Amino acid sequence: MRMGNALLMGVAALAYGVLFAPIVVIVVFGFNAPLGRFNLIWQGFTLENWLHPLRDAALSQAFATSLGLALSASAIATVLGGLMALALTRHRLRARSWIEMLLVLPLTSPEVVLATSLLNLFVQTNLPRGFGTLLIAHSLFCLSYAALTLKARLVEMDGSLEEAAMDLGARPLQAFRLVTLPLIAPGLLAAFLLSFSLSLDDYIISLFTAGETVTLPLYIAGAFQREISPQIHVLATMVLMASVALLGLSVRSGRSA
Amino acid sequence: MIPADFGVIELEGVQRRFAGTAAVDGIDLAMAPGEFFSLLGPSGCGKTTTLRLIAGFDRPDAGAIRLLGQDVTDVPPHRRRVNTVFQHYALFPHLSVWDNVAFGPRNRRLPEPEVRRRVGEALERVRLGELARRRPSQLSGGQQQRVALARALVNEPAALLLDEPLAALDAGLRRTMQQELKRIQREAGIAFLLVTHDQDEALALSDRLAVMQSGRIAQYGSPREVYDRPVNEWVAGFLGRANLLADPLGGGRTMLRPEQLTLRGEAPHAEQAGRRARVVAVTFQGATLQVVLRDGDGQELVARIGRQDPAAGVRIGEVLWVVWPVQAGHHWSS
Repeated sequence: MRMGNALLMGVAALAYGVLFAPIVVIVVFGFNAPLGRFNLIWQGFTLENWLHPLRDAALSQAFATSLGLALSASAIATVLGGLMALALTRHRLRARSWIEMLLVLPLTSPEVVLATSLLNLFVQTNLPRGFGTLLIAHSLFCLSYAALTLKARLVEMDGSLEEAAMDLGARPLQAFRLVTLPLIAPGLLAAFLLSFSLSLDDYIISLFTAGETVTLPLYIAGAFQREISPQIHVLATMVLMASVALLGLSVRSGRSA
Repeated sequence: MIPADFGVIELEGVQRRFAGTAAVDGIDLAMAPGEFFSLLGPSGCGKTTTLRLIAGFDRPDAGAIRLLGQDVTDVPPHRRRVNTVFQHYALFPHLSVWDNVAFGPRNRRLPEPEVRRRVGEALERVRLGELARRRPSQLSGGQQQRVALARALVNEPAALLLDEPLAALDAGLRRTMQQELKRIQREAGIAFLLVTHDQDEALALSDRLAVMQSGRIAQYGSPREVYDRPVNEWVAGFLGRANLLADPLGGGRTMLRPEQLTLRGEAPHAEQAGRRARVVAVTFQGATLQVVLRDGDGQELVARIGRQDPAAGVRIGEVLWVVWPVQAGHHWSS
């Protein structure tokens, strides 16, 4: 029995170790003082990188682009996804099962297929590639995730709550603001966070649709041959800290609702 | 406040179809002010759909709905002077008991002191004053039920609509809440429209009731009328056990309730009718015994007798006289 427990603990520790080791490496190497251009081997501790996180101008530019892109794509996906989820759960749509299938399709089709077809579409319609096409593409693949996350939340919610609000004198929009919105708020936050991390992280679709615009993953992948600056690790750690904070927030608000 | 010359709620030829079949198939109904009225029927008979049409959550395909004499057929729910107690209460989980009850008055933009006074009174009326700061999830089923009542009553509606309000409660609590409903209705003086499939509940609470079957009203009347003089066999059976006896000379049928039958050793006298029958089952039901018998023609008879009754000791296989007064029962001449 005690042997079994020890073995279980050992396996669990190993699994968590493998899961979290890369994250630990990122955080640790933010404090490294590399000798050359490649921040790959531990040389010595320094706070220099954290004091000048934006020293690498091209990296900072790419980071800013990615942040702006992720924020706007997530906002668009969350709003549109929320409206789709409302339509799918609150109304008897004739084409409901078809729409639901179309929502799942982008999740199941290989990303490279989605990327090529988007590029085709943009070239065909003569849309100049850049931040605009990136925003369209990112909003699109985030939309499926956001709509499905919110749909799950809305299905859980008792439909008669909105009727009760209207029964008690609330106009339809008031009923939405006073009852529906507070109840789906944790779902909205979850959809936004999920979209944000997917967009920030995306490489393949961005590669096909970015034109001259450089996002963070595109920059890192391109710079990887020439240089890996410790600022990459610093910025990645910052993103990590922000997502942990937001996740903590969403867990807390989910518990109180 | 409520003019006496028309009904609180009036339905005229109301019809609602879903995918070709009529859930509500031409209903006429008029509720008087202060009346406790029940829509009684099995599940799927259209009673909940009728309630939703009156509340305004759904619109009829034909017919008219009037509240206090005004046509509200096309008026949205938030502008109708009725309030609903939902089957699963539909309390707002993110709001306290107090804020749930204050939801209606605040939507009507009453000044905050007035809101406080009304909410306090409503919570007192359902005896929940001390739980005002709790969340609905921290309350028992019976307490949630009371919050739902207070939240509806605080708006002083012309009529309160109750959709199977006691169905989710256990038997003991259901009896207590039945008395509570009646008390609250009497005190508030508001017309109650209760939707239920429980005939005992409808008989115990209602001033009048309508028995619904397949989207139509089968019968309309006081609980006694409907129980003692049902219009047909289906209504008779839905309201309780019924013995249906064919007239010996053919033609009509007579309905006798189990409690109208007595069991004895000797033959019936002049003012009585009766049959000899063999006991096939005896069921103990607490205050009463249910005795099932079969006569020579194979006709089954169900009697309900008190535990003090001389026949309370009958055993299966015994042959007795089943006796009833000649004027008892309800006769249909078909």
